[in-house]
Amino acid sequence: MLTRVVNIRPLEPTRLAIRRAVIRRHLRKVAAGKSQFLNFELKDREIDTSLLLLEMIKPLDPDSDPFRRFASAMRRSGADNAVIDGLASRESIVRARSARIAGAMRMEQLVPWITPLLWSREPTVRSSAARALATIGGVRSADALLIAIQRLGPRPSLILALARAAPDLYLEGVLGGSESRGEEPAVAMAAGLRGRRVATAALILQVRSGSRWARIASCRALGWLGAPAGVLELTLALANRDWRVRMSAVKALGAIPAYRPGPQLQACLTDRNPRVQRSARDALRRLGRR
Amino acid sequence: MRTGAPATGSRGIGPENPPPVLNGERRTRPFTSTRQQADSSWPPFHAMLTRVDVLEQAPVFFTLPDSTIRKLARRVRQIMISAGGAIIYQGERGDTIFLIASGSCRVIIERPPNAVTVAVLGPGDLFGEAACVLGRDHQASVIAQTECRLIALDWQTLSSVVSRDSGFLEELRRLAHQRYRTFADTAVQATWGMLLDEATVVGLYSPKGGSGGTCLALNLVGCLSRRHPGQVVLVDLDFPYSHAALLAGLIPTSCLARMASTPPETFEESLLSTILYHAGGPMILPGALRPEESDGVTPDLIARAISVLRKTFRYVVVDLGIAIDDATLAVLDLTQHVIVVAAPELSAVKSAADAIDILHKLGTPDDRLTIVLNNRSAKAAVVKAAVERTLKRSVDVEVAFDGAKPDEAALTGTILSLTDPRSEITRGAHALADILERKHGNGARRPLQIDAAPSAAVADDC
Repeated sequence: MLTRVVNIRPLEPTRLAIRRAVIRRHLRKVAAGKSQFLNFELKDREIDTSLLLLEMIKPLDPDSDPFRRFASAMRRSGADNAVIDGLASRESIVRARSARIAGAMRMEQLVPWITPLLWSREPTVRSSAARALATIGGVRSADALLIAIQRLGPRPSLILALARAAPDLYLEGVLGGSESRGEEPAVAMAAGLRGRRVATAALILQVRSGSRWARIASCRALGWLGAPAGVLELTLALANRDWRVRMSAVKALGAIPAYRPGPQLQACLTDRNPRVQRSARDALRRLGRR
Repeated sequence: MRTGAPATGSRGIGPENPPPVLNGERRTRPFTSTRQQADSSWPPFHAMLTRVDVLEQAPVFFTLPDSTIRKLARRVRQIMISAGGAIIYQGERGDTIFLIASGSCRVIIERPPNAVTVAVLGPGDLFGEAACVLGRDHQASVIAQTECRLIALDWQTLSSVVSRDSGFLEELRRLAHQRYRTFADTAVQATWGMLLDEATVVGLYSPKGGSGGTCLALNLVGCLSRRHPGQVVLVDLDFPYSHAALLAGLIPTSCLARMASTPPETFEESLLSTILYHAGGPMILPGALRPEESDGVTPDLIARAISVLRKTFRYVVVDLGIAIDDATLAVLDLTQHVIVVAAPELSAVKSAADAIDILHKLGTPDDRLTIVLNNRSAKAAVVKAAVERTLKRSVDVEVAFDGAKPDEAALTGTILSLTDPRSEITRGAHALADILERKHGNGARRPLQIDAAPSAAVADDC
């Protein structure tokens, strides 16, 4: 398409590059406090202005002065309203861009508008929404991601976003709650990815009394945490009837640096399931290297 | 168990403890439409009242306007932690401030092979603020000592509800810095054996308000703490308005009055965790945060507190204020030295003469009594000779007029004896410190008295 445009208007790429440079220079002025307004449209059809804005915002600390200047410039020039409009736009690319800006600008008040984008038909929109919620963080974002997991199942992008968005003791609270709504496996994986040792107790509880998938996920999560306190439960899980639970426990034990291989793990070398055998070999090799 | 003792038994930090559970307000909602679900988190009325109450009790938070507190209360989470449950781990990152609604929590700093309890926090207190607002890793692990109900306030919620320009976040950062230093210092003291036995208790009494008693007490403590870092504490019993912490630029989070209901087994830890640590070295124990709390400071409570402080510090300086009530008499019974501060004004000198008479009647020997003449104006209304005639004894220390320095120091929260060696107040404080050192300082550091096991561990560590 660009080739066709170039053939018709040979100076078009140069013109667009100059426009991008002008916008970048203006954004730098905003960051430096020399300008208090954004002098471009976020829904510019020629160039992706939101991308240029994100380029500038992403490396900034949300508590820094340049970040605050961008936030106030967006408010003054009505760009924040454009972001809200964009989240409800019919065009998927506009929705995705708006979600990315809302995330980068930590627009926490837009979480209810971003949430429905999590089950959009377009993968770009879904992924942008999940990333935005992960960046914004907090209880509202984590709630929204949990709802999406309940609706769509444990998708990796949602689990990763949940691990980033959830505040302290949020995932542990869900895992330790009395109600089970089927999201435990995903939450257990998020807790493992989050890497906080305080989740160990909740994960052990899931290994002990969770559903089959919750046990599998919790075993892996304990391995990611590398928590020596989980060794006992994981060793017991090696005798589980389900080969997936056994394999998960073997992998987790192989990932715990403090674990000294015992007869239970050695016995997995002759497990009736070849995948468990292979995992046990890998785990023993890994533990032997340490 | 007092500060410095290790966490014992298996019921400490560990995953054997049951996980936290939310109180069900959030998690038990039926699944409805997404938008409602994500944003319709109004807590029940009674839960809201409890949350507002907890936020209003918490240090720094009580300065927020009602509307902001209500907004925060609507969005915080309530978490139940069973006894022994771990809440945060040392060295990990954190994004949430936890406020204690009920129960008590133990703050533990792990310095292998020991784990040192640096504080026991109770209802109204908060923790996790350093990781949340300063972006540091958690300095200590916190475990629930009893079953706890916590209010969890994450950074995202806090920053979206509280305006970044309101000054509140700055105040919270100051508090976080202050507590970070306090815990670090306590841990160092406990680990390296700086805890002492039987301090000298010095009562500083000014019979007339405005004589500069609190200022002098603060500077004396500053001066002594330069000589004995981390071993001097000021107990602020200048009721009903205790301002020593304010003058030192510190934010009190708890006070002696609130220790009245603390059970004996945790009294020592709770008391020591109430002490505020100034960056320059001195420590301050506020008597009461609010005027109405001063009634809670009974002679019995003072005696218990001083017996704990005497075991932990080298000097305990008590700012007694102006009233001679039961609390003051209880302190005077326990003091080894009394300093009477008088301004060169007729009423102040007369009051000082009466106070000296009372002290003599109480059995305070002359050599344990020091008279300070504090010149609060450029030209004294009563000359020193006249003061000595009225008091029927010589003035031991005269503090010359120091201009606006004391008031400026109060505004900036600095202690002159730590920052301005040329100040007249500093000179006076040094003279007082010299007298105290001459009469009570034996120079010999007494041996560490903590449990046998940790002593051995510390020895190994060394």
